[in-house]
Amino acid sequence: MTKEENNLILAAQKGDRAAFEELIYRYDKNVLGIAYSFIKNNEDAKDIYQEVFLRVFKGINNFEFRSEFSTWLFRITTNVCLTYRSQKKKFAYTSLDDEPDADESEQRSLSELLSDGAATDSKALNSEVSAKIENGIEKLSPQQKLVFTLKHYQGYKIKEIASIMNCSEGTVKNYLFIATQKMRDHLKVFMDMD
Amino acid sequence: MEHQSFKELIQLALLNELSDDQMKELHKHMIDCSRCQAEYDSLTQYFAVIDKNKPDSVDEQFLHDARRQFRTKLDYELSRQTVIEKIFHSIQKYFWLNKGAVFTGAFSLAAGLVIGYFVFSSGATGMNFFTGENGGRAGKQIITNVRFLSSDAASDEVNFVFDAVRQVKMKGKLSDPEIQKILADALVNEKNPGARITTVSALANQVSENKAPNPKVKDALISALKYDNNPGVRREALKALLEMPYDNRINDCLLFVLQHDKNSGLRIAAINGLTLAKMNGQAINQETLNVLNQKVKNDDNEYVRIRAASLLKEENIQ
Repeated sequence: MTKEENNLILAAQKGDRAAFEELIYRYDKNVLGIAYSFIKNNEDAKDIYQEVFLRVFKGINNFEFRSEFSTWLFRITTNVCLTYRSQKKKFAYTSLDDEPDADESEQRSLSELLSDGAATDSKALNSEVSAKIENGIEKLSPQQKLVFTLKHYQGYKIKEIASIMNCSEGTVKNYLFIATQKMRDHLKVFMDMD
Repeated sequence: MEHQSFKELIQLALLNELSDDQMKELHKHMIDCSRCQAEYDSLTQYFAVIDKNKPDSVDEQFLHDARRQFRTKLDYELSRQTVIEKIFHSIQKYFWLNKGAVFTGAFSLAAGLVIGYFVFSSGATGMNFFTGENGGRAGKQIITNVRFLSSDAASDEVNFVFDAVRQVKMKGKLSDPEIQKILADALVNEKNPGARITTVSALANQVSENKAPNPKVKDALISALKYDNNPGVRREALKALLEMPYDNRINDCLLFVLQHDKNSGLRIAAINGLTLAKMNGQAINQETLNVLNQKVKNDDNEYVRIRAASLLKEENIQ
């Protein structure tokens, strides 16, 4: 942590809003990136962003410089991601916009793509693969999904992920191996095509 | 080592997570193990597919929207806290100045009702924010972005949030602090860059070098200068800040622009601002010297480099 960042944290702890904003704007793109890659929806990602920084704002006085500020922040982010998801699942039955069946939606998107004269075969295949990956990720447990997105989409090292998620490197590896196995099974058809 | 362990090592190798020793051990094993060679090829293919289909990274507009929404939410939280704090301070004061425990219970009950009113009534709906004071005239309210949090058919209960938007016409003087406060909020929250430029220009007209600025206006101008994604807005904000009495915060803003703004026109305006401040007798502090040194070496605009060098030279002469 730089001296400048330390000063910003101290000022934010004293209630300096400008310092607080300057501090969070150093990392908020990463927070939004984690949220978006986890939730894959702009509005939900923005909800997570707001919840994260509201918790940071309310809890900044409890930050005791025992870890990097970024680690503390990303830990809050992953907690919010995990709980946000579980809240959504709890009330999933109330949403009229939910896709009724994943396989059905895949078929629909593929046929729509194929019926679109402008779409090339390659584009359609890429979209289909992306949709299949997204669908596969959704089937992972929240922790496996989080580790998968932090590793593959955000590029964190396993050690960093362990620190962010407050668990051991072995646990992170375990989540990662299971996620890889599940995803490979899910994407088998595309892998064989290449 | 068991074969399964090598399969895991292959994965870690492809994720760039192995030490040199582990890599050597894996390579040694793979020379003789056709199953691991096949696993390596298969995993390479899998990672390539995942890598090729990464979601798009967060773009600036998306980030800007998230920041704007957060600022609004933070404003709301702070105003709510302020109301609660005021009430508690009143209670404390009352207990301190008055005796008579008989009234304590009754007062606590009343305070609870008041807190509940503020927190849950106005906080939850936000519908009566503008009621026509200060020359404001409220138009028809539009309800958007309704999001259901829960719904229980058995108990006939729903829990949902929504945005209530109402057009308000206001007429007043720019010197009125209330008008300035609303314009300052608009500067931070307005989506339309044209409207933000007009707002910042209107605020700038009220700024005077000899008058203490409204802190809310100053905060909004600083925020716009640092974080607005439209260079026109940032330029207007910079102009307005340079009209204010010069202080450390303004100096810090100029340094921020010099260091972070990609627009060379704004960096030029910032370094001109520093030059002007120096001409008016402002001392150049160590942090400013550091930034100037850095600019002499790294800035891609020649004028900025020359001006920074010249400021440093003048400082050394003195």
